[in-house]
Amino acid sequence: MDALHGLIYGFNVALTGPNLLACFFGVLMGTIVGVLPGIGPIGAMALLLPSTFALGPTTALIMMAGIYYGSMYGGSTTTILVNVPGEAASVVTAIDGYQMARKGKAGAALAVAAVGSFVAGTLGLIGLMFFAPVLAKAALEFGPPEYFAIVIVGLVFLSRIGSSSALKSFIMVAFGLLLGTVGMEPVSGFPRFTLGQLQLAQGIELVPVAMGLYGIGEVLILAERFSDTTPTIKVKFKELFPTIAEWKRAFPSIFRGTAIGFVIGLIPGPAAIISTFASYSVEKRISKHPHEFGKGAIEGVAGPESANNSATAGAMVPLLTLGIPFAPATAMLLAALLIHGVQPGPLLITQKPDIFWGVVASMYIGNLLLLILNLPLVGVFVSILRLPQYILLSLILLFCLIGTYSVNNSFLDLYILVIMGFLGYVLRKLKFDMAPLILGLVLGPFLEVNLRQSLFMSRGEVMAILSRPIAGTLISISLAALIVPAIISLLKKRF
Amino acid sequence: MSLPQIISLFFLITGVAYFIESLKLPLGKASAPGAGFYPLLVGLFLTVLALSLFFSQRKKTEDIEEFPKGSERTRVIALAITLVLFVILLKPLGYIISTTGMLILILKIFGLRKWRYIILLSIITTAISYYIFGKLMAIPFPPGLLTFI
Repeated sequence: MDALHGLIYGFNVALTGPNLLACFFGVLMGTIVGVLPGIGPIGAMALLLPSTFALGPTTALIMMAGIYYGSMYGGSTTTILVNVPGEAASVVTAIDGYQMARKGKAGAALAVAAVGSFVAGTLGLIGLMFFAPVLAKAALEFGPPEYFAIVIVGLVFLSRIGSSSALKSFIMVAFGLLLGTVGMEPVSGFPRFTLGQLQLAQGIELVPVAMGLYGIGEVLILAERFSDTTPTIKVKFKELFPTIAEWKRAFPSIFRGTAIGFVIGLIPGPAAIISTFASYSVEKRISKHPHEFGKGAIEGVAGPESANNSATAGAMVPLLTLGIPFAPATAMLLAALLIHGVQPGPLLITQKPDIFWGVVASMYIGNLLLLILNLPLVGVFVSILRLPQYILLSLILLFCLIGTYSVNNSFLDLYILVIMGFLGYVLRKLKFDMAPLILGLVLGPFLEVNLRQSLFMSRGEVMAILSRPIAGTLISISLAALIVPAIISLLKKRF
Repeated sequence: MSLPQIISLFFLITGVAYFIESLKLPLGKASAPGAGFYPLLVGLFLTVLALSLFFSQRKKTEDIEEFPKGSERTRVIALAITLVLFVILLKPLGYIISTTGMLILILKIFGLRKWRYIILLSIITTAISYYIFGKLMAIPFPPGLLTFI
């Protein structure tokens, strides 16, 4: 099936009633949690994961993906109007977006962010459509050593380019891998580290861990500097149209942001967040008015806000072709597929075209819906912010508890949730990054199976694994990523 | 001892305990690794990393956020205790009683003053959530004391 036929097929899937509804609900939820501080896309996806049990795999993935890219739209709204980033991928937008809002250009900033997100989201999808089948074809040749090496590269990159120090990130990876080994061992079903608890034989669920770290941990942080209401800037509808001069400055940034975002999305790591920083620094460097950056430059909003959207499309590529998520949000998408017994891999596009093309088509629809939700209706979402914080935070806590309980009706999961919540609070304070832990937990069992199969295949010869060209190259890249910065810092100290 | 050192100690103890537990699992051989092979690597990895974090934090403390003091600290601790209480009491007391109780405590912790408003808000929220999640979505919440529901 070529891309055009695939897409037509996908629209047939995505435009059926339940899928369309799932898409709308997903992007709506995404926008809401993007707007709200305290709960981001990962918390929301963890929260809604149990509710997808009753849906088909395509519908479930359409909804979960909608939350993911939808939150990138919503995130900019809070950032621009309140100077509180709704989620991490909007932190950069706060620099110039809020300054624009203070100068009475909030409407223009919102419009540029929404249009930029739309253009980038749509163009990113074209990239996804053409790039994914190529990678999938190449991946058909991959065996356990290659998969093992890809996961290692992913975890190393994530730790190296994350927001916290590499050592701290590696500790989070190790801890995540450790949690991932609890329960029945993936090859022979041998129970491990169950502490005599029958329930732990099922393993530690992703939902309580993600919801604890990202939901409860965040609420505890917000509870410290707690204020009654959030002061917001009001926007009138007629202010939403930037001037022609502003568009002229914004559009090149949108296209540059799109390209940067998509490429970074393909690379392992917290793609959406990094792409915003990369785009911002590029815009600042090549701008004709660099002095305006930090004081309300429209390029500083247009570039990053486009980049984080095309990054979400890029990040879907490794998930849908290799079955390997490189970011916590795509890890949640993988969980949604695994629950339905779908293991994404190189054969997904050909064997389950309804899932691949259905989700791609739904993302076109979703981006269009988001443009409508985030431009004319932006005021509706901003009014959610006027909800008193005590109501908002209590509801988030309650939803985290109910959501976790609903997965297995398990009290043990609730204990895990609360413990992870406290851990998330403390680790956040000590500047640990949560993403490596989540990915360690999700990828751990996959890593173990592929490592053991590789050794089995090579009859225990490590060198035989490393001599395979792709696996060997990837392992060398990870080693270089580990060693080179250490050598550089050592040399800097010496000379 | 600095705070990052305390947390690295936590990871260190976890890593060592986990490593020792892994030794009890069947290790297998290089060409057919058993259930204990990969955990041994993970345990070793975590232990080594935790040790290096512990010692790297001895001289300088990296940038960390200050933990809150005074009323802010009380608020966070009170909130944490409330959550633990909820999880412990959910089964014996049941969803309706423990949720109402938890919401009352949370709203109080967030500084609401009027008791009548706090109690009303908690009861309404509990009732709506029970209807949506317990009835419509049929999540089997523990009935606890209110066995007649």
